[in-house]
Amino acid sequence: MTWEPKIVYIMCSWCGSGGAESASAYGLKYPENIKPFRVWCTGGLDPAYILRAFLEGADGILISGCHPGDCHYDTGNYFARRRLAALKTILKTFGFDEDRVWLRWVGHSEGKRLVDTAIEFNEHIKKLGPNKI
Amino acid sequence: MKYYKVENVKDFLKNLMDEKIVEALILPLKSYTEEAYNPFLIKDKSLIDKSEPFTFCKGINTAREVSKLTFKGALPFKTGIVLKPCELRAFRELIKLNQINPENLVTICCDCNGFEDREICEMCVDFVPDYADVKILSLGLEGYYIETDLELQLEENSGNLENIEKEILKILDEKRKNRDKKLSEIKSNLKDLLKNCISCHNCMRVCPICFCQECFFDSPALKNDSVTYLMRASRKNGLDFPENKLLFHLGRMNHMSVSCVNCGVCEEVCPAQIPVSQIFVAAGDELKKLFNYQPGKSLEDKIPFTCYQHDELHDFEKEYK
Ligand code: SF4
Ligand code: SF4
Ligand code: FES
Repeated sequence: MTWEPKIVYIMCSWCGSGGAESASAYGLKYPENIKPFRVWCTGGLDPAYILRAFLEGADGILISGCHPGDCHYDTGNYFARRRLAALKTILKTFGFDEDRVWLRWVGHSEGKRLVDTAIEFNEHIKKLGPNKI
Repeated sequence: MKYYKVENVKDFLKNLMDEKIVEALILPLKSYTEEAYNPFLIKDKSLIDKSEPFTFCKGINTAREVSKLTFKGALPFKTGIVLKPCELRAFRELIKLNQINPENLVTICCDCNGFEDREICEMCVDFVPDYADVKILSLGLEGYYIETDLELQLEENSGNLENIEKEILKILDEKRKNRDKKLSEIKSNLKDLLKNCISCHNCMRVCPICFCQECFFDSPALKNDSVTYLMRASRKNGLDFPENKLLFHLGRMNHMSVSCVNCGVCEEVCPAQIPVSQIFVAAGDELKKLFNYQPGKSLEDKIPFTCYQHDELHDFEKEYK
């Protein structure tokens, strides 16, 4: 059996999940090994959740929320960007593969962007191979 | 700013009480067992004789205790607190975190060349207490020089402060080298360093910055039902207990290392001899660079996770082509 990466796609409940809705309206598909995980807002995403997925063996974690300026709670995504910058910096400091965590903003109507992102990330993780944490 | 010279720090502290600049003091005193020093709150100035103002109270960051003292409101009268520079940083960080009410508190802090058997002190590069209400200088000097805005009934004397700068630069140079060397070892070795952790969470419980009443890493959120444990075990090729060691340390680091004041009490209380504070310094230093933030310094500089800029950190956003 060929190896399939385990990927968690964290989406905020507005634009992130909305992007997924738009994608389905257009009949676009993303790889089935990607598991969506909804949070209210990227601002409510504690790095501990990402770490937990990472340390329990997820091969990659992808995060999408509203574009800066568009957050439905006004400023959540600006705080999220800081939290993620810190998380990736810490992972890198101790030699973990911080490139297994990606942040890309996706708007509600951007179904294609969401699906492209999922596919691109899937290919990227396939190249990196399994997470040997 | 005024300068005064004093020969004896205990007399100076008594003097502060006589002049009613402070009515109470918090400072290290021999504990009841006479075996260790603990921070004591005193109103009787004769107890100052039994104190060791600049010693380190093992496993205690005084700022954490001061936070309990003002939990239900400010102190009703002026109280002096004698702190080490790292404790002063914790004190100021806790003010920003709304965990200390600074009203009526007077900080008294002496520069510090570290304490024996504390590895963290050997890499401390921030040992001159710039933000104390009463700043005491001693390194490379004869006696003690006091720098303060308070009006004291002492004769002003800025004496000969030339030596101090030389002395500070000398110590700084040595400690920087130590720090770089130690941290690069720590960074390449995290998993190995943590392998003996028994998950007691002592390190978190004594940390001045970890003030949460209930910690996520102690909470039921991390408890699984037995089926899930079995699933995790087969997925991970065996689940090692105590579980979640890396999650706890990396998670705590994400939550607070940007405010870590390098006080070292976490590693002092670790029963497994893990260099916890050095690990947190390794992470904290990188975050401080990233956000250009110095914990425990200016009260105006906001803690990085409580603020943001619209246009920043784009390196961490993945571009869509
Ligand atoms: S690092 Fe030490 S003090 Fe902290 S949880 Fe592990 S064993 Fe306990
Ligand atoms: S993490 Fe350790 S060194 Fe840093 S502030 Fe907390 S107790 Fe002090
Ligand atoms: S609601 Fe989408 S990022 Fe805040």
